[in-house]
Amino acid sequence: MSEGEYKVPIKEPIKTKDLDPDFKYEIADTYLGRHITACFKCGACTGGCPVGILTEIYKPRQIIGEALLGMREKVLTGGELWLCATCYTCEDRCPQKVNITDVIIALRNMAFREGHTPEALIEQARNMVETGWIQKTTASMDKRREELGLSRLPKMAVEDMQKIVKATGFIKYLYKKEDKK
Amino acid sequence: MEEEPRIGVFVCHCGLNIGAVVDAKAVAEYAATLPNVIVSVDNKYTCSDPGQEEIKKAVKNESLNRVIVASCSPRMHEPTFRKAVEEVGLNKYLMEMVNIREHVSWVHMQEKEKATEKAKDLVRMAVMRAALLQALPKKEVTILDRALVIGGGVTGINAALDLANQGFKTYLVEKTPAIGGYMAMLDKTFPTLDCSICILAPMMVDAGNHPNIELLTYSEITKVDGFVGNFKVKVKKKPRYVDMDLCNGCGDCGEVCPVRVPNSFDVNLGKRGAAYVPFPQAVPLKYTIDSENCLNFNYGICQTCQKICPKHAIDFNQAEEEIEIDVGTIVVATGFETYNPAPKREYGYGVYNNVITSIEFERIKNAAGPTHGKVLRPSDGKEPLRVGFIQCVGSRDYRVGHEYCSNVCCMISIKQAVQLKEKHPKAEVYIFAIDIRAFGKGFEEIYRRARDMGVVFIKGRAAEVIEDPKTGNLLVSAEDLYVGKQLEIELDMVVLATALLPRADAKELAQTLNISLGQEGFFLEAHPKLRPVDTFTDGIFLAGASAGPKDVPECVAQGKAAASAAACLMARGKIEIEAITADVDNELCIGCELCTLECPYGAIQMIEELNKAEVIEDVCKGCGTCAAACPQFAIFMKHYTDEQILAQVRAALTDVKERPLIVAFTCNWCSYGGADLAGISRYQYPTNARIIRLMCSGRVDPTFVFEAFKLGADGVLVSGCHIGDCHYATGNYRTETRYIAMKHALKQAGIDPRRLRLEWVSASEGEKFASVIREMVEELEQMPALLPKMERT
Repeated sequence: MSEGEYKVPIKEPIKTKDLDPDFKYEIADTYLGRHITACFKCGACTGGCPVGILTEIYKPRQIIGEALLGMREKVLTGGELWLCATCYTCEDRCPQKVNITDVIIALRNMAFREGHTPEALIEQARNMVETGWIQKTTASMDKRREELGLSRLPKMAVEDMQKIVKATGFIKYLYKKEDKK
Repeated sequence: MEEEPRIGVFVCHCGLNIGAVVDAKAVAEYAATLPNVIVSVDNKYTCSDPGQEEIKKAVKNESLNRVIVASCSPRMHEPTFRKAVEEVGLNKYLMEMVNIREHVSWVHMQEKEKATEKAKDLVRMAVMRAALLQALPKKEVTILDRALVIGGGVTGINAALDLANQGFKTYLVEKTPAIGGYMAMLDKTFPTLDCSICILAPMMVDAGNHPNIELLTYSEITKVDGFVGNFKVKVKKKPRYVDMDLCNGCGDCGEVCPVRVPNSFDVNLGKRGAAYVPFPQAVPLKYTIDSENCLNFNYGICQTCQKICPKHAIDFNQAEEEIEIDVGTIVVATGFETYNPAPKREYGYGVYNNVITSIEFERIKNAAGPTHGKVLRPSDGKEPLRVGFIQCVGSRDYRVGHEYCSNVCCMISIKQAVQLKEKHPKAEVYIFAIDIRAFGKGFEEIYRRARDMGVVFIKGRAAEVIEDPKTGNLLVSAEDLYVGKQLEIELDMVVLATALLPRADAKELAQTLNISLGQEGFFLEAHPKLRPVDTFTDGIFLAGASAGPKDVPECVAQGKAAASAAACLMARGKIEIEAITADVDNELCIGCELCTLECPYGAIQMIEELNKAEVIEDVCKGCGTCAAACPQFAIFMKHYTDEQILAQVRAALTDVKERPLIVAFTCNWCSYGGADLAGISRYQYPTNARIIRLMCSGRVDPTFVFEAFKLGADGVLVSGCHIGDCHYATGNYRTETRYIAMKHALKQAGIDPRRLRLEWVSASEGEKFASVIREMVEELEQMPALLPKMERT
């Protein structure tokens, strides 16, 4: 778009065939998402959302609304889910007792299983499993700590952690087939 | 009745209501195979004229002496069919209903075969019971032509005026010193902006002067005895310390009183003396001295008012008085109270000065209010030119336990916004609402008018209010759905549209009057659609906001409706009441006196010379608690005899096709109604329960329960009104005592005591009834089968 020129974005309406009417039941069948259908779209969640103040991309009412409408693809792949700070303010204020934060977590679980997690978060999870820290520690970090008179970082129970992720099947979502560990 | 029973069974399809789930034809065919059944047919609509005609014809042609109608709840159509059989000369107690709609087709919509089997079982139980039914003589009582109206708000005033104008002596009891209620506090009424007190005051004066109305202000109901047509009511008259006959309302006492305390009529925003009238137009215009704050009562000093009163009306020695009045009917119009929004901390009520409630706004806007009609904000007394209204505060809110919409708040806020705009067209007025509910006459029009005046509607629930401590201004956050963005609006004042709640003392009054409360705590009407001003207690009627949030016209209409319903009874002068009472068999009675202790009404006395018990029939209410207690089976409970109930239990357990099978005893008033509501609301639950209706859970004789287990019941449910809500005052306390004893006995007999369950289910708890059955079935399925051998034999 060149300067001074305004392009009208053309959009098709959302059509029935684009909607998955079972999506809401799928969410409601998970423990965390069980109250989603009680939402009456009042917006108290979004009105007080501390993330929403910083970015208008994140609106719990919109996510819940899209989910109830059946916009499966948009909700799970859109990436907005991952912006929630899980502060539970929305959940505390929802007059219909929709546990919104938990619903978001339920949706994250679904998105994760289907491989729609942002790569940066997957990376953090891999670090966690491999080192016990979400950020990889480096030799220079250790050195810097020593210079500052800080103790060495404790050793994490990495082996236990790996047992858990293997037993729960979590591990298969972390690595693609080619970089099999 | 010695003659051979000749039973007719009429199975109703109720269109598709029953017919779509239960195979009514198959049920009728099955009924034909049962003993004593002479006629058995199915009908599209049994309650219709042709349906009733068919019953009447069959009674005549086949000389039937018992009629069974398998259709809806007896709470719906029992009077209809009783009348029909009476018209062909059959005693109405020889008609029995089987509830295959509320208790079967509406709650087992997905299980057609099992539902049909259950319907057959219920019909079989009724046939066995019907064979044992006996004709009972008519019982009539006279109705006193005097009425009592409780609550002097706009509803009560209208009810009292209508009753008085029809010539009935009416007592109007009001708790506060003056009548008028909430409506007297309002400035203008929506949607027409009529001045509230201007339209109410003439009615108040009429009520005050009416020769047939006796005002009992500053008074409370303490006790209600008796029954329809003959209530004995005790009224406590609190001392005003002012002689009502002498006081002429001149106001000298109020003027000299040195005390200043918050005036509750001004929602504590304004002040009044200890000698006061709540508002200038008060009816009766008689002063009251509030002993809690008066210096004479606290320190023994002052007495200035007494010295100055030109009529010498002040009497510090007045004492509380209790009077007894006899009335035929009672109208309950006790109204509502408003929600205190302090628990909704995000809105800062009680913390930020400039956050007020709707009713506080009314007083501020009212010319007779604390600011003489100038809208000034509390923090600095400045006129707010940027005002926001936050809707649904405490309504539609599961967090604070009020799930309902309060009906009036949308219109109150819109009206108040219009009032602000009328005064200052440039004022910035916002209404934060989830959605605007404008369903009444003229409502949509005032909504449009508000928009035309420039009121801004934000579609979204306000999330929080934050105060700027320097200015006292408020920042409201919300998401506007249309813009799709978060907003932060700076305002001078915020008005919270608070919910309407049941009065805090509603429960106590319900117990005094023996009427029911709904789930929300408002009084429960006998039918939500067709009997909106009746209660389950004959002769007691409901009106106005005591039964749920209502606006002024609805309250007026209900006040008039309740008056009309009460007048219908009183005009007749007589009414037929249930002939269900107890009777003692002198041969069997051993004079143990147990029944005299059990009876909640003292209706059983001992005849000393014979050492036998005797029932005083006029006092007996027919709960049957005595019969359940009698160790000799010497008490004969009319229409609910041991034999009749045992016949139902036995019939439920012959030819059992479904396991686990539950025999459920429910009381007529609460739990049977709860089961009906489960049906009306279509709450689905398993088909395993066979309900037996009794008048009170206190009627459940342990014999019935043990007989059920002996014959192979997998579980027994006893269900009644919640403790404190019993229709027979204390019947369910007896139920509870017996329940504990029965549990012990079952344990000793080697039966898992969990198979017997006691649950309190009110008539408004349909969902609870459904989940009780669901839980019981689940629990019983986990247990090993009881008496498997017996089942096979």
